[in-house]
Amino acid sequence: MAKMIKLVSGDGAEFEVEEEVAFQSKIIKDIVADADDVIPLPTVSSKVLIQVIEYCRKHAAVNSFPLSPSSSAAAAASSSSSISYSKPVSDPALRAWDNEFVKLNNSSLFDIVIAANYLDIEELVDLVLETVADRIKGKQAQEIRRQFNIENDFTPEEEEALRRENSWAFQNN
Amino acid sequence: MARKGSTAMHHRGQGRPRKQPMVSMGPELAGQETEFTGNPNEVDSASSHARLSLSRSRSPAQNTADPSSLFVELATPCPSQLGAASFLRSFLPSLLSHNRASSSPCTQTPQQPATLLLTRAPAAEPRQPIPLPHVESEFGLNRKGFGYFRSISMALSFPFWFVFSTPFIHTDDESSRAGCKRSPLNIPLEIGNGYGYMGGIRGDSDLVDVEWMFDPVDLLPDDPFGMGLDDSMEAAIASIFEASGGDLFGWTLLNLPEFQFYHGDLFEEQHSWVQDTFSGDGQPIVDVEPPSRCIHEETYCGNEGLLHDAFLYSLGHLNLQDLLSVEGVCRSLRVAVQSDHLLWRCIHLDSPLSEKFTDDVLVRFAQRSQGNLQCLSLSGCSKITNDGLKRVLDISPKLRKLNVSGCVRLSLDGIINDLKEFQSQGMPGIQHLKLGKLFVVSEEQYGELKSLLCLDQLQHSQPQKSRFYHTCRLSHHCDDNCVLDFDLCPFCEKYKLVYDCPSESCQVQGPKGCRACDVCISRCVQCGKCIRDSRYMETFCLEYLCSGCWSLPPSNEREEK
Repeated sequence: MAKMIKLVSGDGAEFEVEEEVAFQSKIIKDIVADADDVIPLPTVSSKVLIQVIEYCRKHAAVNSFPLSPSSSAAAAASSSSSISYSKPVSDPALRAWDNEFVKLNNSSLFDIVIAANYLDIEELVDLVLETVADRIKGKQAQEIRRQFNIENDFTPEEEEALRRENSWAFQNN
Repeated sequence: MARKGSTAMHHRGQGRPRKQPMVSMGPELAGQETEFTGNPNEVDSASSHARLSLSRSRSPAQNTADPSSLFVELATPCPSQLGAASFLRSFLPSLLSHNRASSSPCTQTPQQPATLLLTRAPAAEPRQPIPLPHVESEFGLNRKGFGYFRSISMALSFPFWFVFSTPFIHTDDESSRAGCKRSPLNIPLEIGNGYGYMGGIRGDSDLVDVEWMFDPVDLLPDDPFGMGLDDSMEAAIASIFEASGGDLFGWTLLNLPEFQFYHGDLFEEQHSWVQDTFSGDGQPIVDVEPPSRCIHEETYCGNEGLLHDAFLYSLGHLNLQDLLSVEGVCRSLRVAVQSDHLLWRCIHLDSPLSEKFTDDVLVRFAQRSQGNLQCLSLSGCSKITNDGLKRVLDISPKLRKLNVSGCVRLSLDGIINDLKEFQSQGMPGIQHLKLGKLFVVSEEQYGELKSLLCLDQLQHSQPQKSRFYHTCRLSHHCDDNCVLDFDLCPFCEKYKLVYDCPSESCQVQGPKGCRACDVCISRCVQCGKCIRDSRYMETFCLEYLCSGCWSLPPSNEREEK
């Protein structure tokens, strides 16, 4: 009989999950180690918690234990970064599931990543951030603005200065 | 109900040129009866004043004879910016929510449909306020409500008449007068420009001057209900109306084209607050993303730097080219990109940008790391000179990995000299160096590099990792932990890039069995295996494909990615 852990979201809803599912979150793992089975999560709303639990459930079923943060970088052709990531998901079926999972709007993704960061679920954080980054990659500034509804608050002079500063990137020799 | 005296709404311009706080009310206001008005400089001139009065009473129980009603009236003919709309906006949700909660129907008087009328003031004289129907209801104006008032004030910058009636608790003059005495806002707050008091000071005038020096309304979030304040007022009202189920009021909004809407300050408050409230309420007003519609929940860049944290975290996953694009999106992002040194700990350059990199640009980016630059890959930077590299080394004491493959203007001697100086600085120094295939390394140079990188000691402590032809062409320098990519080719005995063989037959022979430069042993560009006496194809780029890879689709490369 799997041990159940109770998670209480910010708006008071209670969710009972199996131990191994909840242990995808390192924070929960640590808390439970102190013999505490009911874990209040005041900063996580029910909606987000449901999605996080769904992710954890799927990944707990596939892995017998959560992936340890390895020092190896993510996929070889990924862009440069100073931050190291957890190992990329090797199972293509799981990867496909992940890709479906992150087909959400920007605000939902942001909510999830904040919650995953709080719960210390490294894989989910990387997955969501990579997804957000994919929505930025290859786009021009104007497209990024449109995608994330960001207002252009540069004055024309500032824009001109920025363009001059980065003019080297547009020179074709 | 004649309102004697002329008062006007003021807006406090000191120090906050874009905000238009209209009314400040303390937290004790909820449930209290308050009447106040604003009073600008001139007290008696009716031509340039606006008037706001707001009154409500505590509970029906206290006003049996005089059922209370809520009455908000704001009028100003003056062209100054004004806050009536803000009242409306903030008032509406609380009224709605309150009305929803209220169970007692309107009993005292026949309900009049609440109308909201915003027009431009035609003349200077203040109009008479229209009495409201009486409804018994508990009402509490909360702080959120007033936040809306403030928002509307910012949204509408033109003078207008605002008459707002609602089937709420009504108070006539007497009861309001009586109630005002209980109001905690009967405290005179004096500010420099001589405004009146908040709350009730009962004098001759029914209207009470309002004065504020600290506006708690400013602390309120701008759009806690996610109404999308960037949209027109009409849409905002419509959204409230929808949320209420459309069963309470009939709104009429004259939305004149002259109305302007501020975009500036509306999103000053912490976005995360909105997020929390929003997700907590679960209101479906804004849900999926239609990118064209400016939904407050989706707007992450306030003009004062309020990007969602998650967005900033994701910047670490972008390459240089995308970071430059992001830099040009808005001010806050530009600051974030330029000042976050973590983003610049690893600078990796690729085509097409790498060919365009000049020394100055490189130094500029290196400076952004504020001395924390650890990995630098200048693969294909044909314009970089030794001077530029030296400048970068000077400002990056923590540099550990350096890749200068394809930098045709760099001389190996210059590199060695710079490295000598760099390594002598006492920091761990460069531990991984990639020179690429364009360099010709003599024996002395190799010896010097070996000593600079402490190759001998490292080779004893860790076995050399196998280098494969197909992976070395694709992988980033951050992955590879090889100290120096050059080695002695056992076949031609020159110092070149040497590769191992991934084929099982060669590996069986031992680690050095099939280890040579690509000139001595040709290799398949896709799988890295040696092509010796076996069939191969030459590609258009004069590279080799072994017979196995030639027949297969390029799945290897896809897996690499």
